[in-house]
Amino acid sequence: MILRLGFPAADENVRDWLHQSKTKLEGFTRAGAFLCALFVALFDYLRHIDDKIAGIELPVNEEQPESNEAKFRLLMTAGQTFSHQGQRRREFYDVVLRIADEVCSLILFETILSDHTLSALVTPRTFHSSPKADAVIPRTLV
Amino acid sequence: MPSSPGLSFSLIQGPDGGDIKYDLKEELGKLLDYLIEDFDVLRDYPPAMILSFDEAHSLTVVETDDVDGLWSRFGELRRALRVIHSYPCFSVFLSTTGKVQQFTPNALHDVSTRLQEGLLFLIPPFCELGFDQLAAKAISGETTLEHVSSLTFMAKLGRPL
Repeated sequence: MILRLGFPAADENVRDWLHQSKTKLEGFTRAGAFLCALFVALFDYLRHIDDKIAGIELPVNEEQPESNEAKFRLLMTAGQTFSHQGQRRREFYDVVLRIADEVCSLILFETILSDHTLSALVTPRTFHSSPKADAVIPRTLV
Repeated sequence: MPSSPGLSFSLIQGPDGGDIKYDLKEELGKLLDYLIEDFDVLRDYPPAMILSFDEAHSLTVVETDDVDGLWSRFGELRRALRVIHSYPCFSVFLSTTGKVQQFTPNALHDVSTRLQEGLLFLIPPFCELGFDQLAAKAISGETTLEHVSSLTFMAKLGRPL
């Protein structure tokens, strides 16, 4: 994740999302939700990596990646310029943030127990009935 | 060892009537099960995944919370990462500002109480790394222009991380 001006260009949506926290509890909740969503999305992307990189044009003299790591790197760097990240990378982080946002925005009850365990409860009906979320989050993630 | 926070996002009931739960450790565990054959969290592994936060100093601004006092987004991200500290997932925070104390302040000035009390320690920063220390040698008469323009060659240039 790149959070500020320079090269490579910043993942602006990630930076802005993490910066929205106004309290310590929200900061912890957002950080945890982001990491959780990142792992969920990454797991799904890796399982379908060939579909995800389909149509990406390779640079001249660049060989077709064979390992999952190389394929994922291709996805995250394709179309990258000094001023902005590539479309596929932006789409990946859009999915990550949509999952993280759905979880964060639907918190009904929060409690920090005496052992510092934070448990956040969200309502399932709203979570699963969001047409916007259903349209973007891969089926395997819902 | 001080207790680390757990972190779960629990849905009360899923569409099939069963409970759904997003747990940070469980989600990372599923991913590592996929990446590492016969993954066992109790065994030691080299890092299977590295999370890199570039120009992360923008997260280090210290804020004041009426309830919890001083805090920073970096501190909370660090705390969430500590939930998964027993997994082979390593995090790197990068910055070009040259202010090392933003990421590794004196323990007494850190927003974490456990760091202030010496119960936890931070990894010292890596700085002044130099350039091209892992670069492959280009040998006259052997190395081709095609090779030096390949990803394999170029990936070893720059600052090693």
